Formats: sequence, structure tokens, C-alpha cells
Amino acid sequence: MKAAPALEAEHLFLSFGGVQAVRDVSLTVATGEVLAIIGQNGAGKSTFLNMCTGYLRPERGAIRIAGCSIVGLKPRAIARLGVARAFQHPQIFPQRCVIDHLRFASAAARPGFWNPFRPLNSPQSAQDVLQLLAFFALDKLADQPVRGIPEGARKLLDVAMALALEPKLILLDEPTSGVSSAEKLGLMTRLVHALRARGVSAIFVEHDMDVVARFADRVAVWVEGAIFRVGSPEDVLSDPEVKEHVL
Amino acid sequence: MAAEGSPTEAESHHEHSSMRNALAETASPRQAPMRATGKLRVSALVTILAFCAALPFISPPDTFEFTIVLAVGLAGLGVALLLEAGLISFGHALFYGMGGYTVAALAPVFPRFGILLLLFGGGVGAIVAAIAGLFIVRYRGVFFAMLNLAISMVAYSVLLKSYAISGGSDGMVVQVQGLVGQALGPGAFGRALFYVCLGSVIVLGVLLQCYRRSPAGWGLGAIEDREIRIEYLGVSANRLLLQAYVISGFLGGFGGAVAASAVGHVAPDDFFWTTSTVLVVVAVLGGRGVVGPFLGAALYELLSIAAARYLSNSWEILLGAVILLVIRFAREGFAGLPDTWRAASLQWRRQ
Repeated sequence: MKAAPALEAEHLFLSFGGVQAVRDVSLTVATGEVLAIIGQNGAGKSTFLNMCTGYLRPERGAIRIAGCSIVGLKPRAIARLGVARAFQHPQIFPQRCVIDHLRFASAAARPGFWNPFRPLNSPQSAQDVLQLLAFFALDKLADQPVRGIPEGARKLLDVAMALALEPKLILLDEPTSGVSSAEKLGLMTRLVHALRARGVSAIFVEHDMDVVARFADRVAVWVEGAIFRVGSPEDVLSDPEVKEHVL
Repeated sequence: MAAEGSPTEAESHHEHSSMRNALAETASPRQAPMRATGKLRVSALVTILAFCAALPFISPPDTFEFTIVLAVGLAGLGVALLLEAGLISFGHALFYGMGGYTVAALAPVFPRFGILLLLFGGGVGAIVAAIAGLFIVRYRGVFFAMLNLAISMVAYSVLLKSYAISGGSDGMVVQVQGLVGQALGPGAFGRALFYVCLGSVIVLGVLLQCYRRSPAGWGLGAIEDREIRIEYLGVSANRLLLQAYVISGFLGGFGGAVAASAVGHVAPDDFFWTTSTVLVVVAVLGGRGVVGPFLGAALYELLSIAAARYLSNSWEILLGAVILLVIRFAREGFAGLPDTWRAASLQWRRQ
């Protein structure tokens, strides 16, 4: 029996007042696939991610994660289905130190989270947390409160938290924004490698076409709330109409 | 194309190993000052506890006041726990009063088993918190504060009107004669209650510290920062809050039960908003953490005694002045003074 795709979106519609933010969007992401979403600001890319994570509810249409309908579910219920998200503006806890973010995310993904006598720094997750810190080169900042670390490091921490959940599908909203151009390709190389090694499907919204060309299996182009083109990076990025409308 | 530039498994493994080793090497010097600070704190805590244990011998007539400080400190600890999530409760007198009335109601059944009565008081506080919390934890900010206040005032009114059950505005006499099966004289009972309470404070303090260091305890503090992120990690912020609310209710009920046993009387005023305000003041004066509310309760009691002696008709002026000073110069309360001073000193040196 054929396994259900990681994500299926069918005929999604959503408007804010008189603005049609998402118009008849249908998209499928296969298991293990890395899909890039490109488009101008306000094209509805982040709105689509918000619908896939339960923050916004589509007016019409269906969204399924591994065959399970998620429309109407809360973000935490969708997260428990194996969907993790990193944000365009890092959603982290300014007063807390870097390593505790990863300990918390790691604990959230494991049984025993609600045990009041289980320490945050549990031996079960300690190794994974250290690996993530090293993987994202955050180890030197491990004990620092995140309010004092650079924006790029915050971004990495946000992505690392999403990865600590050991997701089946990860949604990354501009993962390289705020990261220096020297670190950008290195970060994506390691991130995509880690995702592929774990068989994690990914959707990432990106404005850097070099990153898109290098790391995406497929690219979806968004224009004014609708999908304009979907295809391989070579085909899509060389399409004259895409160049005219988006690039 | 997608795999271009990907490190091999061996490279990746080697990289992780070397990073881990580097982390282990750098961890020791970084953690050394933290360990020293930790030891200092433990030493200070042990000294304070030893001093507390000696208080009934240093000043026997004040044993009652010391017990009340611990009782109010326990209830204030419940309020301080919720403050960690950035939420303030102006209705914790509900649990404090419930604990007291539970002791009053059950004392005739178990007159010589005061320890059991204290646990019942805490348990009833937790049960009431679990029921009320199902509704209250869905709200934040001023709504959370006001809903707590509203429920405690409803309980106050019900008790005031239910004369046959609660004794109305006269309240009820609490007849606890012993703690572990033997009847004790008033002096011996007071001392025994103080030590039982001190022991409970230590045990509950350790348990609460374990909770605060657990993922759920950490998440509670993170609610204040960014609740939506907690939800995106698959964790219910409301459930985190409910867990803390029930713990908080237990502490309030236990504190109220101790106070009722010590005073020997309960009245609807235990549910009144002024009692809730005292618990908030205690939490703010003492600061967050496990020790803070007890320091706050001790300071509050000292202020009350000093005011009764020198400012009997306008003691709120003294209390208000101290609160203003704490908010201006010690935002983290008295327990946070060392950290506040350290930060101020660092800033001064940088300038």
C-alpha cells in the first residue's frame, strides 16, 4: 500500500476582509521531499504555512498531514502529528539560555514531559541536545540568555528547536534571513543534509534563489495568493514568466 | 542538486564528536563559578533553616508569629509560582480559606491528628484549584487576576450567608489538640506545629524546586515570554498553567490549614480580598523562587509588628513605602537582591 504524502493541501481559500490571501491552492509534498516556496512579499506564502500549522483556518479546502485531516486542529495537536515550524522572526524565550530551549523542545517530543520530578536536563535527551548545539554551532552560546545573542544565532536556535522535536514535516519560514551570507549556504547544506538523513519532509519559504536552486527538490511559485508554477528548480527558475513576475 | 555540498556521514560524525569534546572541555571552567555560587546558596539556606529551627528557643513567646510567617509564606509561594508565568492572582485567599475551613470542619473527627488535617487542607485547596482552574487558566492578564478575585469573593459571600454550616461572620473554632495522635498542651502544640510546618516547608520547597527544574516548570516560566511558541512545540500552555495552579492551590490550602491550626479559629475574612492582597504583597516583597515568599512573609510580619508599635492607625503608609522601595530598587524582591546588586555593580563598572 502506498504511503500517504507528508502534506496534501486541496483547494484552499482564505481571505482577510476584502483581500484574498490564498486562492484555490492545491499542493502535495511527498515524504522526504524538500519543497521551496518563492514569491513576492504578501503573496500568501506565510499564510499558507500558518494554515498548515493550525494558526489560521482555511475558509474552504482540506489539509492532510500523512493522510490525517488537520483543519480545525490547534497548533499543538498538529505539532504532535509531527509538524514542526521555524519562524521568519525567531519565536524564542528572551530570558532563557540557549541550551534550555533545546532541552525543552527535546523534552516536549518525548514521553514523561509532564513528570514534575524529571529534570529539564535529562540524560535521555542530553546527547541529542549537545549534538544539535554543535550542529548549529551554538555550543559557545549554550549558557547565554538569548536576549544577548546575535540575530543569526537566534534564527539558528529557532530552527534547532523545530528539529529537536524530531518532526516528520518541517516548515521553515525564510530560514536564512538574518543569517550572514557567508554562513547561509553552510547552514542550509547541513540542515538539508540532516533532514534527508532523517527522512524529514520540508517546506521552506525563501527569497535567495541561489539557496532555492541548490537545495530544493521542487519549487512552488506564488503570485497574489495562488500557485503560479510548480516544478523542478531548473525549469521554474529559468521560466521567463516566473522571472518577470517574481524574480 | 539537493545533495550538493552535503557532508558525508563520517565527516558529520567526526564534527559532532569534536564539538562535543570541545564543549566538555569548555564546560568545566564555565561551570566552576556557578558551582561556587550554588554552594554558597545552599550554605546560606542551611544557615537560615538552622536559625529558623532555633527560633522557638531564642524567643519562645514568638513561636506563634513564626508559624504564621511560614503559613503565609507557603500560600505566598503559590502566588509566586503563578507570577513565574507572568500571572497574578488576586483570589488566592480562596485556597487559604478552604484549607482553614477544612481543618475546622474535620478537627472534631481527627482532633489529635493535626498532620492529617494539614494534608487534607492542602488536598482540598488542590481540588478546588483543579475545578476552578479548568475555567480560569484559559484567561490571561487582568482577566486571570479578576476571575480569581471574583471566585474568592463568591466563596466569601456563601460562607457569610451559610450560618448553619460555617458559623457565618463568627466563623468556626478550630479544635486541634495534637499532631500525631497525642493530645498536647497549648505551648507544646504551638512548638510542635511550628516544627511540623518547618519540616513541611523544607519538603514542599524541595519538591517545588524539582518541579521548577522540570520541563513543565520551565515551560511555565516561558508562558510569559512567548506562549504561542510553546503551543507550536506541541505543549498545551493551559495545561502547564493548570498543573501550576493545582500546585499553587495545594500550597495555599496547606498554608491556610497551618494558620487555622495555629490561630484556633477561622472566619470568612480568610476568603476576603484583603487576604489575597497580603499574599500578593508577600510574593512581591520576597520575590520569585522558593525562598522569596518566606522572606516576604517574614518582612510583612516584621512590618506589621513595627507598625502596630509606632504607626498603629496608619501602618499602610509604612507598607506602601516599603513596596515602593522594593519596586524601585529590588524588582526581583528580597530574594533577588544579590542578583540585583551583582547586575548593578557590573553595570557601574562598565560605565
